[in-house]
Amino acid sequence: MERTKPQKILTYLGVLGVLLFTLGPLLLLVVATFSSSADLNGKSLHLVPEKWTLDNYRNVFSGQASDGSLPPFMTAMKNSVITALSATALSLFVGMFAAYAYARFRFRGKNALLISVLGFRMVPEVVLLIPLYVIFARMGMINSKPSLVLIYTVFNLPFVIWMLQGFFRSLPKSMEESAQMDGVSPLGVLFRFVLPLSLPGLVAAGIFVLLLSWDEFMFASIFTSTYDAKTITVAISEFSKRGLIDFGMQITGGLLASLPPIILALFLQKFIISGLSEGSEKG
Amino acid sequence: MSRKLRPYAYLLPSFLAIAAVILVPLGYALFISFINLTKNVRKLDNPDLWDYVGFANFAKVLSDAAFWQALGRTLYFTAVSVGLEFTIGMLFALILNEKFRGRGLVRGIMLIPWAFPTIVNAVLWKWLYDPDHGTVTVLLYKLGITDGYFNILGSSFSAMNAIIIADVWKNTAFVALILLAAMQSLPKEAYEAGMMDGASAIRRFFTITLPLLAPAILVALVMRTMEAFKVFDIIYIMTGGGPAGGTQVLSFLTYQSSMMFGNFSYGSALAFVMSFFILIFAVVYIKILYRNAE
Repeated sequence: MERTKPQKILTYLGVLGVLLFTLGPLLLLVVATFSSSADLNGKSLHLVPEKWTLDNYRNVFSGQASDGSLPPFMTAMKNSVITALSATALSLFVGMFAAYAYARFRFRGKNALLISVLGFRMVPEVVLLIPLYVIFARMGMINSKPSLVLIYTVFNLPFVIWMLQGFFRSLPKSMEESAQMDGVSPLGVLFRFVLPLSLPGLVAAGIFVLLLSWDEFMFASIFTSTYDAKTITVAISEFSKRGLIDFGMQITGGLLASLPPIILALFLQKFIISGLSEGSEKG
Repeated sequence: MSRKLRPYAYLLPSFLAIAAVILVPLGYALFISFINLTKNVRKLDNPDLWDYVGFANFAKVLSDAAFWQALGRTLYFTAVSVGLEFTIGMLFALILNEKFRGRGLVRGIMLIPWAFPTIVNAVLWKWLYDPDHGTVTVLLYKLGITDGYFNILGSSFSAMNAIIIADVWKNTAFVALILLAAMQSLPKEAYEAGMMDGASAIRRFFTITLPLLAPAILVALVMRTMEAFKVFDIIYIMTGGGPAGGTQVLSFLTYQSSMMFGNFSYGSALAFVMSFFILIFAVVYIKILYRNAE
């Protein structure tokens, strides 16, 4: 398509708009993390700090948790990494069997079971908050990382199954069939022939589970009470409750906590886009 | 293992997990909504103390002014935020669908707010709206839009809209990416035929592009609507439902009545009433998916 000059100018103006919208608040955030509390409490637009300082970063990385081990921020980051990675690995592992059954086997009740998976994906979390709290409290399972892992794993399972079955379906059947003829066991076919080809699908589903688990706040805030299990979202929310002075620490901790998901999203961009469009196809 | 049983064996672990963490708790929540349970969960050990009240909790929800107000706020939040995310998201997708240098980079940058944790987004905007030092507050004053420093999160109307802006900043990229992916899979002929006719770009957009994008638009809208309807984190951080309940949405009301005031049964009934609305969106969503596949 030939483009006229005004069209080109319009495009670049649009691009400028996208960049301003996206980067404006981000730049303010980054600048603020390098500002002193005197600066932050001043009446300027906070576009440039009067004096650049690393105080906020020092504050975030110092301080002791109640058990005296790591600073709260580091402990919460560690908890988030462990929780999110475990939930991702577990939901992929459990979900892939169900996804494979949907993609390749014919059986009674398949359609109804597949729609029910979609249905489970829609259950609003807030309905489950109270019963899960009551059940976990009575079993003494509050304030533990495994409890959070269990919840995140299962909440993400329907999505994982849905996405992986779509991916498995898109693979050619011929190799599986010839492997079967050669006498490879069904599990062998899945592990040795299907999974190696499914890495893009596993990565795409995995990113979403990772990002959602890292982001989760409602359950984490109710199901954790000490730094044995508190995740980073809970830690950041609590920086604020101590009062106005902690704004610097809160946004600095927040920026640092955003780096893992942002870096992941940028490096694995094409998987995210395939994951998003998967949500718009029946598979 | 027999051929007939194998698929069920593959499904079993997933369905056991879903039964334990979703299905059974759902049933349990229904049970809780029919009794009179407060934070004292020991009461559950003794069936004599269950105090079965039938639909009383549901009746209480539906006759509660707080519920209807929260529903109104939730609908306002959902309609305005999804509307803005769709409009801006469509513009962004159209821009990024053009050819220009550094397109990949710009697309990556656009993705950043979406990857931003919701809590951090809330913290960032709460700071920007700070009544004494926030950049937005100071800017509004310096531009002469407000007399003096206006406490944006201090009055219901401005607080709700300020939260919506924060939500839009984070979630627009999601809509833009879905639309962009759909645009890039559109047949080129559709555009070119329009060009021969000399159709103007705007007319071409409304008569050709928009109808072809309809399935992707519906998916983006329904998914965002369901999420927006459940909004919680950003409200919890930015206003805690305030000022004076002015930003109290359904999720927050449920959280507050159960986890803060300890009224588990009322909270459960409220959560079910809320799910009824989500169910409508869910049915629409599933129908679209199946229609897209045909």
